[in-house]
Amino acid sequence: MITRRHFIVTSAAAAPALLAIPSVSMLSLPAHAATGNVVMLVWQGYDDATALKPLTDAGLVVEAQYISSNSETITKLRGGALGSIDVVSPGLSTIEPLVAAGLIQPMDPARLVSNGQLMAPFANVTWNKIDGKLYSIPVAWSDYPMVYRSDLFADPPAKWTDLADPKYKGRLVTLDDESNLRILARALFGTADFATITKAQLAQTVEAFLPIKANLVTISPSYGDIVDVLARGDAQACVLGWRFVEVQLKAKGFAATSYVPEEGTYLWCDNYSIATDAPNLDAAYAVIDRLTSPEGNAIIGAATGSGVVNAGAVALLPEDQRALHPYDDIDNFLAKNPFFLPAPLDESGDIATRRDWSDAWEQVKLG
Amino acid sequence: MADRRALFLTAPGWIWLTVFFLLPCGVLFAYAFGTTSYTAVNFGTSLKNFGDVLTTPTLQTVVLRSLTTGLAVATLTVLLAFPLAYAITLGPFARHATPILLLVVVSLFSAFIVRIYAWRTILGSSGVVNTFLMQIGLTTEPLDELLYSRFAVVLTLTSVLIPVAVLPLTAALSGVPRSLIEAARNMGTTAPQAFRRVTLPLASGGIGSAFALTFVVGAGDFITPQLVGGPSSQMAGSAISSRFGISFDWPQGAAIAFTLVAGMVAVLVALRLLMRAAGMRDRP
Repeated sequence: MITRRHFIVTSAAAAPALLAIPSVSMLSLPAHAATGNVVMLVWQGYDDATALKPLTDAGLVVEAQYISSNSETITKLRGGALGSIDVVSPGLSTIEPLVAAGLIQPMDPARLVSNGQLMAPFANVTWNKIDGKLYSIPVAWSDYPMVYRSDLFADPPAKWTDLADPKYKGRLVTLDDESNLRILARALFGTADFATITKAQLAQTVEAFLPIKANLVTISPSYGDIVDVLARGDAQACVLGWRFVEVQLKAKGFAATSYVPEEGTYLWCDNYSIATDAPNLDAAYAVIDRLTSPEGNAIIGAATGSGVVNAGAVALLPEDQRALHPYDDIDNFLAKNPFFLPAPLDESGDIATRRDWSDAWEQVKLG
Repeated sequence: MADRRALFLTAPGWIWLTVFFLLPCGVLFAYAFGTTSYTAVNFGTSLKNFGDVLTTPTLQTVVLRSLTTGLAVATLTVLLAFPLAYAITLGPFARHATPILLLVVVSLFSAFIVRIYAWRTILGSSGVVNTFLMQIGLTTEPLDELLYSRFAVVLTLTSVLIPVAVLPLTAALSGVPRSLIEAARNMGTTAPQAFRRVTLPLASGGIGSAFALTFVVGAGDFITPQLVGGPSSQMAGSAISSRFGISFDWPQGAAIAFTLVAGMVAVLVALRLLMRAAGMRDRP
C-alpha cells in the first residue's frame, strides 16, 4: 500500500470523477462544525479539499502532512510530532502498534454521526477496537487484483501460482510491497489470517515467489509508475494491482481489466484515528465525521478509486467508480475475499512476525 | 590571537557543519548500535546490526552492487566529462567556454526524475532505440536488456552526472597554465607526453573531486535503480530506505548506511593512492 494515494493526486483522471459529483460539497455541514486549525498526518487524498470545503468555508484551517508508508505515522508521531497532530490515517495493521505505543487515543463513537452510517461489514470490524475501546473509523478499502492490458495479455493465469510459468517472462510488473508475498501466501495456504502463517510457510512463500520475480520486468515504487510501465507496453500485467490502475489505463485509451485468480485475494482498509494529545480535539472529530459522511466519503472514494464505507456514499459515486467494487453483493465478496489479519508484532513460537514478513520481502526484492 | 580570529571567522561554517551534518550523522551512527521493535527504536551498544550487514548475502550483494555501480558510473562520467572540460579550457572551444558551460549548468536545472523518465522513453520496448534498431532490420523484436537492467542504471546515472563532473574538471583545468604545457613542449616532449606529465597531474585534484562526487551519488542513489533498474539491480539505498520508511528498523538501516559509507571511503582512499602511484599529484 506504499504509494497508491500518492498516485491519486497526480492522476488527471481523478478530476472528472470529482467533477461528476459537484453538488456534494454544497451539502449540509456536520452537526458539530469546528474552528481553528487541524493538522492531519495522512495518506495524500485523505485530506481532500473538496470534501472538507464545508468545514474550511466555515473557518476551519486544515493543514496536511503526507505519509508514504504506514510506518511513517509511527515514526513521525514518535519523532516529536505528538501534540501537534490531530488526525492520522492508519491501515488496519497499524492500529495495534499505534495503540501499543500510546500514539492514538480512544474515540467517542457518539461524536461521529457517520459511525452509525457505516455499511454492515464495516460497522464491527475487529481492528478498530482494542480492549473494548474504539480507536479508529474506516474510510476506504479495496482488494489486490491483477490488472492487465487486455489488448496485450491474452492468457491470464488461472491461479496466482501460475504466474511462475516462464511464458510470463518479461511481461509482468509489480509494486514494491510485501503484500506480494501475502497474496501468494493466501493462494498457497488458503488464509488471509497472517497471524497463523509460520516461519516455514513464509519461507515456502518466498521460494514460490522467486520464479515469479524472474518473470518481472521491474518492481515499481508506485502505482503511478506501474500505469506508466503498462501504458508504454514495457509490461503487460501487474501482479499486485489496484483497481484504480484499470481506470487510469482506460483513461489513457488502453483496454484494461482487473482480475482475481481463482484462489481469491484479500482486502485492505484504511482508517482515521485521533492522535494522542491532539491539540484540537473538536476539529479532529469534525473532520473525521465529515470525511466519512456520505458526501465526504464519496469524494474520497471517487478520488482514490477505493471502496467507500458509508452506506450513503455508494449512490453518490460516479458510475465508473461504483462499478469498481461489488457494492450490490458485498457480503459474498467479503466472504470470499476477507480483510487480512496482520502477522503478530512479537515473537510467538513458529509464527512469522511482521519483521519476518518485511525481511522476507527484502530478501526477494534485493536478492 | 590569529588562531582565535580564524576560529571566529570560520565559526558560521563549523557551527553549520556541526548542527546540520555531524550531529545528525552522529545520531544516525548511534542508532546503528541499537535495537528495534515495530513501535520503538532503542539506543544500545550491540554490533549485531553491522554483523548482519556483513554476513547476510542479500545485504552484502546490494552494498557491493552499489559500490561497483558507483565505480562504473564515476569512471564513465569522468572519462566522458573530461574531454568536454578540456575542450572549453585548454582546447579548441576555449573562446566559447562561457556559453558552453552555461548550457551544461542549464541541464542541471531539469528535474532528476524527468531525466530518468526521458531515458525510459529512449530505452523502452517501444522507445527510440528499439524502434530504430527494428526499423533498420538489426533486430526483429525489442531488446529487453536495454531498459530495466544494470546497464540502464549506469547509463542513466552517467548521463545525469556528466554536468556535475564537468564543473570541478573545468575549474581544475582552468588552473593549468598554458605556459607550463608550452615549456614542456619546448623541452622536447610530445603532446601526449605533455598531457600525461603536466596537464593530468595539475588537474588531478579536479579529477579526484569529479570522481568522488559522481561515485558517491552513483553508489548512494536508489531512485534510478527503482525506475530503470529492474528486479535484479536494486542497490543499498533501497534497503536503507525501506528500513527507515517501512520496516521501522532504523538500527539496521543506519548500519547499512554506514557500511556503505565505509565502502565509499575505502574506494576513494584506494583511488587517491592509485593516483599518487601513477604520479598524478597536483603539486610537487
